[in-house]
Amino acid sequence: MNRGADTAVALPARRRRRKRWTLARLATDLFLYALVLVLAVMFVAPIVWGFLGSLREAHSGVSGDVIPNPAHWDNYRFAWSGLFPFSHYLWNTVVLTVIVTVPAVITSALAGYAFARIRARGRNTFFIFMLGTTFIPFAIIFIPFFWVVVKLGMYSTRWPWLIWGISGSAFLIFLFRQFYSSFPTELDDAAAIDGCGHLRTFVQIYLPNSAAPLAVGLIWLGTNWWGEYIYASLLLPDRLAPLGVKVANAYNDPGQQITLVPITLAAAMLFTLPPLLAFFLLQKKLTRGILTTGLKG
Amino acid sequence: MAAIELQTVVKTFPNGVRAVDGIDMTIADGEFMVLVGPSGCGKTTLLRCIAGLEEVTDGAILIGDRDVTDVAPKDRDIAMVFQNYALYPHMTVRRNIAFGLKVRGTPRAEIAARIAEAARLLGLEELMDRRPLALSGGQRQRVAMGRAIARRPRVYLMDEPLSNLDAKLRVRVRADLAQLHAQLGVTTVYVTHDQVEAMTLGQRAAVMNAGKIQQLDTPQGLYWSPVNLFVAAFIGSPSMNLVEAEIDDGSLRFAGFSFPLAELGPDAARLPRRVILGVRPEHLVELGESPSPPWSIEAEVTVEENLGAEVLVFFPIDAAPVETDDIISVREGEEQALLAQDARTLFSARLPSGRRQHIGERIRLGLDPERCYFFDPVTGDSLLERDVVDEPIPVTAQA
Repeated sequence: MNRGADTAVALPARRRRRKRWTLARLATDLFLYALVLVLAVMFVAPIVWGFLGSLREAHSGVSGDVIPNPAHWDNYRFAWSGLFPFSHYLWNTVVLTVIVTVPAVITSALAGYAFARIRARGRNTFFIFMLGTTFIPFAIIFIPFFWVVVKLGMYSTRWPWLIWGISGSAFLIFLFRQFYSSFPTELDDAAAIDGCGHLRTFVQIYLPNSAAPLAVGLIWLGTNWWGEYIYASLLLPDRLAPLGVKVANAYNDPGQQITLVPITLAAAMLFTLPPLLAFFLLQKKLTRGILTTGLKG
Repeated sequence: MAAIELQTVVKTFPNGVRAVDGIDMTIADGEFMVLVGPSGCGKTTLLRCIAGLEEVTDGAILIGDRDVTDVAPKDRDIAMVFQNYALYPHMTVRRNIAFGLKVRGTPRAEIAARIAEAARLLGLEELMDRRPLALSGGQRQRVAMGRAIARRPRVYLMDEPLSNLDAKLRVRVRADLAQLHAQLGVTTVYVTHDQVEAMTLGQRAAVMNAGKIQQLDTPQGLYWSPVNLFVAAFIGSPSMNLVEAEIDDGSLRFAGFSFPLAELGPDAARLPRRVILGVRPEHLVELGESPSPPWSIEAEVTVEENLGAEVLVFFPIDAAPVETDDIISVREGEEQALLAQDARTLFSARLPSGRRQHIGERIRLGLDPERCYFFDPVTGDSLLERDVVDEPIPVTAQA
């Protein structure tokens, strides 16, 4: 949040002092740049490889020129409208992602506010307990969870996703708690005197000043659930399946018993596009969120 | 408008700290009451108790004959101005002022009228569509005041509202606050650690220490007739000069000086063998070439501060500094000295400018026995009552 209360108006631009180059400084900078470059290559290389692979001939598998010539752009057309209604499963993905992400971010923000601001007996113990749940391995809860979903009659429905959403995310609760702890408590006092209860204070004072952690939450949780595979393949019928499940299984050429790798890659590229766009659109807020929520030291 | 009555208010925090320790106080309808004291003395906690932001552990709070001890802050009909202004950062000035009224369901036309009135009173018309981040400290302060004024509450509570302003602006806003109170006449409780604000703004001031009121009086009363060592040391800038003295053989002795007690008149008989002598810097008079009266001291000037109309001179005397609990409490709230202190007591004198005193020269100063204070070295209580004099109180602004 901005520090409206204790920041002076237009501060003059700080004059940057020119650094003096020394051998040690040069070596440190070179090392850091090299490290950043290696990390960048590690993250970008699979995407570039996938993109180039998506332009190869449909039956070429994973072999062939690094830069395909000619480029088979029709792989994208085929991925979109070939074997299955791409847009239908894309919509399924959007629905599942939204019904988890949006409630989860709101619930987490609310819980973060409560942990940061509402004085209650055992608050910190409960917070530590809540954080501890993030360390429970998925494999331990998987079967009991499946059993609960079946017993509640939620198998083959989207209800489990909504319940995940409403339950919030321990990591996001932590993030919001850190963020809200940095708000001056006088804001709460002013709101209380103005006549706000906790809910109104949260909705009208805290939430409008939470753009940065909201962006972090939406992107982080959104990308996680956008690519979710295991729950969806286990709990949902084909008509409700998200694109991730469909893309992973769909492009087997029944005649030749092979996977059409370039078309799978083209579909994967199309599938990756929305989260990438969201990332670039919210990048500024995301960076600020990371800085202001104490995620970065 | 309403009177405020505090009945044996106690606030103990869960960690056992008793921040407010049985405060009894009545603030008259329309009065400007200042709570003043060093950091941690409980003044802000007491204000928060009045606001309802802290639950009192014991006692009762009445606003205008209504017991509000267990009433929520919003229902106490108060408005509060905070140290860091607490403006909502995402709202414009207009929305900041209107917010409290909207929450209370005030009709739109009424809100608009009150915003206009507050804006006119505080000169905010040009700023109404700006957000707090685009305002200077002084402008934010005015908006915070505007928010309080627009509410038209029965009581204003102010928690060190000037402490984030620079020294020059603080003087101006202080004057504005006094004028505003004179215009509106609303009961105001004002918390500050700055005694200059306490002395200039308050119709009465309560000096607090360790959760208790040490003295509740007019600024003149606090200055001229402090009830104990704490109040004497806290009120006045520079602080009252204090030194341990001994009464022996009809004389008051300290640091090699000896004053005949007969000058004190019949009061002298009431003094015990050991006392703490207090002299305000402005009550030391430079003797120049004139002969020394019976109560006079001589010392070497080590520091001189020329303030324009007057000059402060500092000089050590050969006595150990007074180190009672009260004095330590007062000093806890002050900045640490830059240089290591020597083992002697440093006295100060406020003298008229025009004299050309040089550091290192010896200076002779006379004391008026009628304006000397005597305190019990054990209890810190004042031993002789002093009359309140109707003279302006000289205080040097603290930065």
